[in-house]
Amino acid sequence: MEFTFTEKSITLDKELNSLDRFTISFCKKLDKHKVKYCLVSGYVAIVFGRSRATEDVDMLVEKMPFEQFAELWKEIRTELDCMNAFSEKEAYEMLCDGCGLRFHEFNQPLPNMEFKFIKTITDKYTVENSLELRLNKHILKISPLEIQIAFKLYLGSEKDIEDARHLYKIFKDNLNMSKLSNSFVLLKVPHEKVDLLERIN
Amino acid sequence: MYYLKFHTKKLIYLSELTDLKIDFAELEEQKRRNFRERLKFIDWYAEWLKKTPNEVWSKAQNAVVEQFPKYPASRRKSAAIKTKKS
Repeated sequence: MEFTFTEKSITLDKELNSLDRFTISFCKKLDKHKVKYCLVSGYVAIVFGRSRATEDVDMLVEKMPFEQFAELWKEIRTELDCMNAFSEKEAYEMLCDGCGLRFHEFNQPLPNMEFKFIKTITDKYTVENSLELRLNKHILKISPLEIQIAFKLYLGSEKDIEDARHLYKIFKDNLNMSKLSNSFVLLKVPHEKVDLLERIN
Repeated sequence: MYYLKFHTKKLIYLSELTDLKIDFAELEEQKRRNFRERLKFIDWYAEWLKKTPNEVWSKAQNAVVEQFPKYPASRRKSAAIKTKKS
């Protein structure tokens, strides 16, 4: 795998798939409306080669005023449907209540973009410290890998542990180990789970 | 007659199932073994990725990622137009 890694960015050129194109197209709309966002969870592992599919792409978004959201909603809804809200007012209320909106191509529920406002302190940290992924000259904002790995271990399902291990194995030589350790401490990830990044038994 | 045969077979099958004595310790060990095997695969696959050109691994990965059949683009477009009108 060839990529260029810096503290603030990763550059990767590869054959794009429909999940990448869906994500790129959605993120371009956010950039157009100057919305601060960050892609997290499964997509971050998949874009770096993880061998699994996903039904959705998870995105954290900085909270914005209703007027700005309404403009963004109008733009998104020209191309995409929303699974769980039918007006910008309803959608905004759901976001403010901590619920995610799911956007998808018309008559094509999979994949869908789960769009959520920042809620927790880790959400805020993730968006504020997002990495720039230069994917075939498109710019996407993704979670810092250290917090992503720690969060996946915190979630703890077998799939999440596998995602964490995948990212760790690919980027082991590039990760900031001190940030990684701090992320484990922050999320209170137990030692036996941290060990699963390296050991088998 | 078929109806009777089918439902009798179903009842026999169900009773055979309830007669099974599940060894849960064995199942748990199988679950752990399966997870260990998956972690070994993750390691092998990550090493393969690291030494494989991007155009090669991404093509291989896309066979997994591109699972969801696409609704024809023309039908999606007409659905989008209907939404705009409403």
